[in-house]
Parts: sequence; structure tokens; C-alpha cells
Amino acid sequence: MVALRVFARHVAGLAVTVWASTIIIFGALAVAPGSPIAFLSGGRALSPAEKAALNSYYHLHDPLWQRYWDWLKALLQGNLGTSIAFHEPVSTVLMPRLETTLFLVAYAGLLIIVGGVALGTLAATSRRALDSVITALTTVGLATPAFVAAVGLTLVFAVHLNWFPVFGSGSGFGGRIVHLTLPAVSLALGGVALIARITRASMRTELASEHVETARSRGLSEARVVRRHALRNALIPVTTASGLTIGALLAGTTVVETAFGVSGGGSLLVQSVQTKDFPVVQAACLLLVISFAVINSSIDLLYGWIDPRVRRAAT
Amino acid sequence: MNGFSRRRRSIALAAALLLCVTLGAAKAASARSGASARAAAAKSVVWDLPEGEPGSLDPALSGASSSTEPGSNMCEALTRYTSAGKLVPWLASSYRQPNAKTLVFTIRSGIKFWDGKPLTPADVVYSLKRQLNPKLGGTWTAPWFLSVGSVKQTGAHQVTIHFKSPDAVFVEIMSTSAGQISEASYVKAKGKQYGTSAGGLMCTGPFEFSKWTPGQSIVMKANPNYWNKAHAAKVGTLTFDFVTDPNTLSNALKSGQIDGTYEVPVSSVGTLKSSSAGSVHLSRSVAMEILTFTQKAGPIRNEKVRKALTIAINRSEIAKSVYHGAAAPVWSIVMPTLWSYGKSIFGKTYHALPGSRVDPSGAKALVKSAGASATKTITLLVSSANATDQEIATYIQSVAGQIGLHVKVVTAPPGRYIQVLFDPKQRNGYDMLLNEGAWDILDPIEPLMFVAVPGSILDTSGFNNPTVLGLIGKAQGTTNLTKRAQLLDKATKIYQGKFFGEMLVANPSERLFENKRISGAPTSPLGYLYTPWAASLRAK
Repeated sequence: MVALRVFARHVAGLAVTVWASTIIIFGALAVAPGSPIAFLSGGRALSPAEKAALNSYYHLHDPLWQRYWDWLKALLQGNLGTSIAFHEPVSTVLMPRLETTLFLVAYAGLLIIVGGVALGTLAATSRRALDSVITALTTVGLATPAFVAAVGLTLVFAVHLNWFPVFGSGSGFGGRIVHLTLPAVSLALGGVALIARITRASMRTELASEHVETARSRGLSEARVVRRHALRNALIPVTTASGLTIGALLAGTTVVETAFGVSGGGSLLVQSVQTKDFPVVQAACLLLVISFAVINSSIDLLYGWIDPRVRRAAT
Repeated sequence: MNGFSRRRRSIALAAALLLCVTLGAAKAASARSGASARAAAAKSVVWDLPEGEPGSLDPALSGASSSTEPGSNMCEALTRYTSAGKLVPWLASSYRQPNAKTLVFTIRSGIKFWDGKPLTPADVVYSLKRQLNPKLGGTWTAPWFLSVGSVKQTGAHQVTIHFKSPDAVFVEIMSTSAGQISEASYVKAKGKQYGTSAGGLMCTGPFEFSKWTPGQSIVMKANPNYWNKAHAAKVGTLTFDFVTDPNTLSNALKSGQIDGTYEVPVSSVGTLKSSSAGSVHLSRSVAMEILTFTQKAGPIRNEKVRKALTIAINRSEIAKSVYHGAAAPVWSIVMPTLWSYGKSIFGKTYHALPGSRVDPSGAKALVKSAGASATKTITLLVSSANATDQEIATYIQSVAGQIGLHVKVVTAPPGRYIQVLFDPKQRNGYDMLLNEGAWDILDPIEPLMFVAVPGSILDTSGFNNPTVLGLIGKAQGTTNLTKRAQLLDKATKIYQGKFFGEMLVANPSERLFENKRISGAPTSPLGYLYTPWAASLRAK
């Protein structure tokens, strides 16, 4: 019952967040100057008759509140509208790309969590030499922007070694993995380094804490101490940081998508903002907000699992 | 201590192993899929569209190269230009213009759409007439269909077009996407979806529309029943990718993931030339790099200032250092590639126009004589997406500085830039724009109509000269090509020689890359524009 109530509260919070963001997104787009008609014509001048026809066809001259209301009504019926630039339903344009982006983010997120926690634990529990090497590596990782990593990884692994394709998003699970490995690695690099750093610091604190000393003095094996007593406690800040990092990836995939010619939600969003393709921008932003909110809520729910105290406090 | 550290490492190792396994699996999968793909379709070619995914393949809506480059292999036009630049009938077996207000096409018989239905005059009438409707938002409606009064079937194989005002150029426009014929019943059935990934196309070309995966690729397959055996497709499948990033494209071409492309990014020409993967072919094109000025007051409104800039810009230098040789220096919108007729008439004027010789000291004197107001700041807008434009802008800035003008370069994101191009109100903050584009027909009337007729596509200068308008209007209605050339030449002398309108900066070459597997992509001036170019593509 308690868990259900927590869950319900999260869903309600999510709904309010999403609704508030629809207003912000819609308002921001309406205030920004420019018209999608300019893009439709490719910058060519149009006759007044053509302009008027296109404006009324896309309802660009309707009052703002009415456009918002129409959009919201359609949205609640599961209709995201029609893309102005692609002449197709927004869902047709957006869904395959969003799927690619979510796959890419999930892949990068997995690398960040697994790689970051493993490296951080290794650094915290090993001798100084290895610790220094890992710390140096994470410094490089933190300082390397994704697009620089993209250029380097492409040159080595795609052009010279020919292990991976240079661009594209692939189809099917295997194809996706092949095509998105290099993008995911470039995207994850900074996150891996960050999580490794946080894990290391957090582990060090826990390993030096009293309860760990107690556990050791009770003669528990060191492996058990590390796993059950240090790592589990150290995971709370790591989880928070991972959630934020992975959430931020959602908005930051554009650069990597462009560098690897991956047609995903990020590059579509940038392109649609430039072409003033309102319906696509609205839908893409909305789905990004929802994804972000879902990730954050999942993290919140995860705390309860990691740390029973959080579960109790929530009741 | 020893036991612990081994266990501890094993956890980390397991994690590292997981990573390696993923990577290894990926590598194996990539090798497998690569080998099978190659074996399965030895005659399939992967091509790129450097301008990205098209908005639509519907010929009536297509103006950008992204849509015409694949589209013209699927939908064919009533006429076409040969590689030598001669206009010939294509889906029409013949055409005649008994007078300047009447154009009669005889439609070739025995041609079938991909679904087996025959091409009829009704399809031709429908494909042309739908472009008269302003609600379509068609690319070609203005200015080309403004002269059209009626389009009617006048015989078993005949279509007649009556013009409201004399139009001898319309038949040339029928070689572009505007004249490409789709199956009427199919277009009606698909409605707004025609030309999209969901609706597809129904035409007669050497390639059939096969599949468009949004965000990924457009695939076309050879049409086994193509009517013109001599021009049938020689590769089975042609896939178009949408890689826009110059670096990614260059790497994909070098690694063989993409076989070829037109419009190789200028910045990649050098590295691809030295690559062993294939070769770059440079050829004359209908493309242009143009410096336009806007209606704002200020120094640029002064004709002396415009003349000074025109004669100060060293176009050979731009072709050499900005384009690395992949451009020709040109100084008039009536540029040599477009002289499909009247060569001697256009040539004589061209070589005498200001700009044919670089004259910095003359330019300096002109600026001085223009007075103090000429030295006020002139803003030049370029798109941040276009590295070449930015380099040219920097060059123009330095040249202007040397002759006593003050140019400030403003860079805008592509989305903002296109709004400025489109909307006169937003142009107010800028004096000049750098723009690139390509013409559609081999006729100097097109650039003159687009820059000198108020309200048309490239009219940003506010030029409005009744004499020039009269000459262009008369030329449009003149079927005799020598007479048309003389009329246009007079207009050029005023627009380009006295008004110093839009300044042509360069005629970028067509930059074609083909890797070692493929050959045969045409290098004629219109290149991939509007003709079924990929039919001549061969693959090993």
C-alpha cells in the first residue's frame, strides 16, 4: 500500500511537470520570431496568395490560446500533429528517431554505470599506482568533449581498423549495437569518468567509516565488507549522479548524433527548431521531458530499494 | 590481504569483461553483416545526399537538391537537356510552339508507370494543373506557372498549353521537376501523402521507389520494364543516405560505407583527392555563390560603392584559396555555363563588364569620390552552417578594408539565416548577404528574372527598372533564340554594368566522388539535376 501511494504520488508529480512544460514549450515557440513557411519555400519569396494559403492550412494565424488548446486536445487523443517540414504525421517522423536516441542513451548509460562503478571501486580499493593511473584516466575522460572523442574513435575504429561503421543507426538489436557502440562510447566517456570519481570518493569514505571497521573487526571477509558494507552505502550518491548524468545525456546526444550521422531525436530537434517545424519541436520536447521525468522518478524509487531508511522516511 | 585483492579485482574484471564482450560481439556482427551485405547485392550502390533528408519527393514540391537528386531518377520530365546542353523532348515525343502563346506536346506512347498503367495525356494535364493551385505550396508555381492560362488534352496523345502572356521559356522549365509527370490516379489516392515516406511515388523512371525509412535512407530499385532500353538502370539497388556532416561523410566515403556523392563538401575535396578509396571529379556546374545587397539605406545604396566592390574582389583568388580550385571565377549572373544559345552575344558583354578585371586602385578612387558616408559600417550576413561562405565573407571584409570600406561580418544560425532571406522585414538589420544556389535551366533568362523582377526569389535589392523589366518580359515571349539573347544582353548591360546588382563571386564546380567500385555518374553542367542521372551509374 505504502509503495503504491509513493508510486501514485510520483505519477501525479510527473503529470504536473509535463503539463507545465507543455505551456512553456508552446509559449517559447510562439514568441520566437520566424515562420515555418520560410523553410517550406527554401527561402524563396512567395506570392501573397501562396503565403495566405499556407498560413491558413497550418493554422499559423490562429490565436495562440486556440492553437494551444487544439494541440492539447489532439495530444490527449494520442495525436501529435503533422510535421510541416516532412509532410508526415509527427509520430512517423519522431518515433523511429526517438527509439534510436533512447537506445543510444540506454547503451551509454549502461557503460557509464558499469564502467564508472567498476573503475571507481577498483581505484578505491587498489594500491596507489593503479589508483593514480585511474585518476589520470578519469581526468582525461572528464576533459574530453564528446565530439573530440567521436573524431578520434571514428578515425581509429571505423576508418583504419574498419571494426565499426562510420555512420548510421542500424536496424535490429545486433545492427543497433554495431552502429551505436562508437557513439555510445563517445557519449559515455565523460560520464564514466565522473561516476568513477564519485564512486572512488564515496567508497573511500565508507571504507574508512566506523561500521566498516566494525565489520572487519568481526572477522568478515574483506570482499564481503567491500560489497555489503562499503559499496552498498556508497551507491547512494553514485545513483543520484548517475541519474542526473544519464538524464543530461538525453538532451546532449545531438553532437554525437551529428558526428556519427545517427539520425536520432536530438538532431531532429535541432533541425526542427531551425526550420520552425512547431509540431515536431513540441512533441520532441514533450517526450524528452517525459523521459527525463521518468528517469528521475525511477531513481527516486531506486533509493528505497538501496537504502531502507529512505523507504521508511517516505511513509 | 592477498585473497581479498584477488576477489576485489575479479569484480572489476568481470565488469571490464562485460564491456569487452559487448565490443567483441559488435565486431563479429559488423564483419558478418558487412560480408553478407556485399555478397547479397553486388550491384547495389550507396549514395549520399549531403543536404540531408528531403522534406518530400513530390516533384511539384521539390526544389532542393535533396529531393531532386533521388527524385529525378524516378519521375521523368516532358523535356530534358542533353549533356551537350541541348533541350530535347523526353516523355513527350515532340513539342512545337506554333506561336508564343501556345505550346503543344505530343506524349510518347507505350510508356508505362511502375504499376503497369499506361502514361496518358490525362496524367500530364493533372501533373501540370495541380501546380496552378496556390494551396499546394508548389516550388514552381511562382514565377513559372503565372503565365499559364490553360492546360488541356487536345488529342489522343496531345496536350496543349495556352499562355496568358507569351512564354517561350516554359518548355525549358518542363525539363525540371516542374515538368515531371506522376500517375494522376495514384496522386489523387495518396493526397497529401504523395511523395512522403508513407505515400511514395508513382512515375515512369528507370528507378522505382522502393522504401523510405524516415531518418535513415531512401531506397530505389531498377525498373525492369523501363521504356528506354538505352537509358535503363545498370545497378539493381540505389540507396541514398542522409549524412550531412562533412567529416562523417568524408570518413564514410574513405571507409567504403558510402560509394559516392555529388556536392562533396569543399573542405573535404583535398583529403578525398589524396585518398586511395576513389577519385574526385570536378566539372562545370550551374551553381553560384552570390553577394546580394538588401533594400536598406546606407553606403551600399551608392552605386559607386557597389562598383568599387565589384572591381576590387579578386574572384580568381577566391576560386584558388577558398575553393582550392573547385570553382570558376565569374562576375555576372549571366554566367558562361548558362549560355546554351547566343554564346557570342553574351560572351562579348561578359568580357567587357566591370569585374572582368581586378582594379583595386580604381576601386579606391571610386570609394573616395563617393564621399564620407560611404565609409559607414556595412554589415554582411552569412550562415553559420556554411564554412565556405564564412571564408568568402572574411575575404570580402579584408578587400573592402583595403579600398576604404568598413564591412562587419555577422554570422547567423541556418534557421535564422533562412528567415532573413525569406522575410524583407527581417533583412533590415543587414546590408549584404552571401548566398549560394543553383539555376535550373541553361538559359540566362532565369537569373535575370529572379534578381531583376520585383517580388521574385532573389529580389533583395529593390531594383525596379521599367526598361529592364520590359526587356525580360519580351525575352520570355521570344521563341527565336538569337533575338532572345539580344534582349537579355541589353538587360544584362543595364543590370550588371550600370546598376551593379547582385555580385557573382564564384561558380563552384560540381564535386563528384566515386569510389573504385563505381563509375559513370554524369559530369554535365546540370549533373544530377532533373535528369535520370543514376541510370548511367555502373558498379563492379
